[in-house]
Amino acid sequence: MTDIANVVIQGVLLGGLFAIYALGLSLVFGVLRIVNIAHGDVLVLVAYVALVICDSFSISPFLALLALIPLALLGGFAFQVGVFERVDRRDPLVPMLVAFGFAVVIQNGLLLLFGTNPRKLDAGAIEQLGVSPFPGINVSVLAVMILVIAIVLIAIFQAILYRSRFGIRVRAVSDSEENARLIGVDITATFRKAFMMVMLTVAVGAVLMGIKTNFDPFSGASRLLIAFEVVVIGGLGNLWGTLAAGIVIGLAQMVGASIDVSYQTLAGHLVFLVILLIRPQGLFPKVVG
Amino acid sequence: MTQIHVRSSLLVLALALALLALGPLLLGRSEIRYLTDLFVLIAVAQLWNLLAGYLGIVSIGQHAFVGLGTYGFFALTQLFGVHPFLSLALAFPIGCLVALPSFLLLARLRLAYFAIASWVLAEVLMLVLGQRPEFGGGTGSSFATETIRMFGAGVNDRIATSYWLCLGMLGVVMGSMLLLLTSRAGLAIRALRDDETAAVAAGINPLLTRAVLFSLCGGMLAVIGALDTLQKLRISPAGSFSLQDWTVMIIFVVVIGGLGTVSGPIVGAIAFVVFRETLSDFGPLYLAAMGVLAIGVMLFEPRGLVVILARTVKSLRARRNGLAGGA
Repeated sequence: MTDIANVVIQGVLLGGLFAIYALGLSLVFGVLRIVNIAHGDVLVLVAYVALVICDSFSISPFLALLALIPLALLGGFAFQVGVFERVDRRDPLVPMLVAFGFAVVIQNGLLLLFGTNPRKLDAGAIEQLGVSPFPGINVSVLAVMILVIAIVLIAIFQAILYRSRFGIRVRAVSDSEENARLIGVDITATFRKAFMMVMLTVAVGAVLMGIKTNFDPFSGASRLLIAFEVVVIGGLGNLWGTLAAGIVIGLAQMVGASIDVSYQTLAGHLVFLVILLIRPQGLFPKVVG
Repeated sequence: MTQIHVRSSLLVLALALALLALGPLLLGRSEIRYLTDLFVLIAVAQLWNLLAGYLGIVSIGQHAFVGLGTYGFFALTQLFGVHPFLSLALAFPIGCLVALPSFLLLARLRLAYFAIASWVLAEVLMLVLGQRPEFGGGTGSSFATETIRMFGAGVNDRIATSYWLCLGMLGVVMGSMLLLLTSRAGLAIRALRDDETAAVAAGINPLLTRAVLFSLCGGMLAVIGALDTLQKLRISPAGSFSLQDWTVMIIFVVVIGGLGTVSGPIVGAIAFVVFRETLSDFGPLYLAAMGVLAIGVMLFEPRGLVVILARTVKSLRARRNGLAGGA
């Protein structure tokens, strides 16, 4: 009984991390309408930047985040202005293939610089810290923290998207770029700000990923697939749905892993395919708001 | 395309194939290997091009079917004792039968989502087959010597057999692609990517057409996987289901050469092989360089090298004519 409870707790907590991966991708898909195949690789790239910062200044990854967020925003801005704004977006295939090119460039660039050895960010004592609310039940403090961060991020994003004037513009662009343009929304500026939001989730996600799991230059693909599955299951544009879907995939992976470690990834994928078969519109379709 | 145009391109193809068929009699071992690789590369690129460039199906999971063919071929020859040549042929229906339901499942998603979901499917296939002990689990397994001997007693014979088989496979892919695109339905198929309504008006059922062609491509990829494993002589999850070899590189070849043209994948494959040979000493750098090249093409001329080459030739010709006129 306690075994099952532990698996469920671990799965739910893992879901927080997955929701953070997916939050940025959901915005890229829904607002910028770019199938950013490089999303996972950008996460890994930023995690390596965090590693370099931590190593050079011997500081905790959480402190490094203070430098990492502006860096990620700046990099994202340069990328949006320098590349995505120059791409012919009439054919969705073109930006997708550009992102694909960047994915391969990032992977092989990281391979040249850092080699294939898996790396990890060291957050110190908190990594081993656990509490036991009931006998036999163990909860990692770090994992709870990650889930709390995910909930806070989603609440902030939800408030921005549904309570602010900028949010109205973002949703207008997301619904129809043409109509938004007609009523005087500055599409370019909206895209740039939305991409900044994406990069904020990437910076936070990269640090938490780096503390929680190992990463190597080719880890991006598996992170992208998880983020993608969460976005599809959660329903595009539904942020609380994203959190719920993250937990669904997290639970699937933990249940799979409890049967056999090698089933962890497979179980997540299978749950995704089954949901796709039964409910292609996702478990939590977009709420009109 | 006019009828004469079709006949002449088929004639050119037949002549090229006949000429290339002499290869093993005239060339050295490394050149034969080199050309065999090129045939496989062009064929896989052409199949991806047919899907993405004409039908609007963007898959990043093509390695699923290559790996499936490899594992299917292994199962037939090693586990069930089927004759290797028959097994090669049987790879085709195996690929088709798996590709069809896969397509129908993924077709519930829009274009862009389809791409990533096809990748998930490939991962699933690799993880499932890669964990089976019959196939040697994660480390893979080797073919029995008797199976390999069926394709030639010595190494040179086997390399020649492999060359001819791959050339024949390329001929089938190129020939059927030319016939398909120039057939009566071909015009409507060409419209599927850009204007689905026009295709429907021309009497094409988009879902059915896409499903049938995706499934046939899956079958062909499975045959290619079986052919390729004859050169590697072993199977493994990471090697047989290689995302890099069968999807990433292939997309680069098509994008750099020219998406949605028959000559694009050929030009792209040749450019790719030349590139690889020049930069292979630099390891991962050459892959990064391929990525940069593909990004450059997409940003500045999404129609690819084919268009860039044609334009260069045209401007050179114009300049020469201009000079001749001036003199």
